[in-house]
Amino acid sequence: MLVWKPEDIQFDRSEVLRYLGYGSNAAKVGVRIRKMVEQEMDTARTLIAPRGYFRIVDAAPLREWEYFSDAERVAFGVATIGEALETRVKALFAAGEGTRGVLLDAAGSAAAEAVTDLVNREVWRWAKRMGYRTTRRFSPGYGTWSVEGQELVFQHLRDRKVEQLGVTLTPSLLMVPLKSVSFAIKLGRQSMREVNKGRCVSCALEENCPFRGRDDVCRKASGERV
Amino acid sequence: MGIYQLLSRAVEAAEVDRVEKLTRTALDEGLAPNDVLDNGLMPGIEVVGEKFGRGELFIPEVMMSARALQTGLGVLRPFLKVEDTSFKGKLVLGTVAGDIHDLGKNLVAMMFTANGYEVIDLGVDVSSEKFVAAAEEHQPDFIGLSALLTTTMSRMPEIIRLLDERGLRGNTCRVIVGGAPLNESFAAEIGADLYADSAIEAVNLVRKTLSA
Repeated sequence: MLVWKPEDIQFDRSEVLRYLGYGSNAAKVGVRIRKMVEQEMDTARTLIAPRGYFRIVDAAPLREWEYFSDAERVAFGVATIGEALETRVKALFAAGEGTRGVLLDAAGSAAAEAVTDLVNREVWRWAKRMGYRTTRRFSPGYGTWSVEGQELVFQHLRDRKVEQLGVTLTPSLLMVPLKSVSFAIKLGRQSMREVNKGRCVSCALEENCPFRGRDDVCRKASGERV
Repeated sequence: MGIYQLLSRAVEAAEVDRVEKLTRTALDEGLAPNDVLDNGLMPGIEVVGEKFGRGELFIPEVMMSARALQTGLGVLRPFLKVEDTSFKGKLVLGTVAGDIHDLGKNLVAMMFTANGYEVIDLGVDVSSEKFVAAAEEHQPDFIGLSALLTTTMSRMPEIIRLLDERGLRGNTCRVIVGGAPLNESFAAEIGADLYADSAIEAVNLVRKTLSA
């Protein structure tokens, strides 16, 4: 299991604003909101317990899945910031502090993604050492990979270390804590097809998505943590 | 600038203290509480909704304005007559079984509360039977179903079917659905009465439906 100190997790204001839907409109954020965002980012740093885990498996048994057909190995991983932040978000809403709740929640999403970047980096390091190329990470419920992919990810992560990590999958394939990210990365000696090419291009939601075309990560597809 | 316009602007600017003060001033000046609500507070939040729709404002600003509106409502409420204070409508709301996402649902609850509706929030992971029981108990104008996963939005048709079977849905109680993986065609497919892709749109749709 990979464990980091909260201060090792770098996430910036622009990321948090992106999760709040500002996208390229960050300049429109007023002074008051900007200040509250900073405060909630500071709060988030006191509430996160960044942890992660990954396993690299032989891709041969996975080739029946189109996503892994050109891979030699596959890294399955999961990252989380723990439960404390979402508990605080609930408490803020219950106390009528919904604005702060939304801001803290967005800070939590940005932090969870930053932890995932660190797990991803460890996969890259391993791949580089072993002479493999890697694809970008892709997650169940995002882009074209349906949320049912969670079963595959967790099937390969089912060991004591994941239990220590404290991330579980509900029968409806939801990760608990909610601020968790699961993913797969393909590894191989040759170039491999990216699963989610250019942000929205390969998304089955097509034009129905209100976030489509924004300079944004996919927040619309099922499995959303924000 | 008249006091109604000042109030409206204060709601729009999410100036909570100013809204409170102006609402009290309006009452002190002898203005009718329901006029203060309809001509001062509500136009402010309506402008916010329009700006949100045009992409000029974002969720945090909307929520702050909603809070300002609630503050004003809190000042008015003891002075409103029973017939005036009766809520504009009643909404039973929850995230469907198997789903524990509550942020979107909470935003919807907050926007409806701020706009003068009575909200009965059933929480998250709400069983279909619980939605039906709440519909029977509270006789709401609307039942709001939220889901954030493709695996859980499939609960929605079951809830609609159960409501229909018990005769709990119709012109007096409509089902409104929303959540990230949903869209208009899914809502139509499962026979939902309304689909909203944001909390503000939900309020607008409900307002239009009730005034139709």
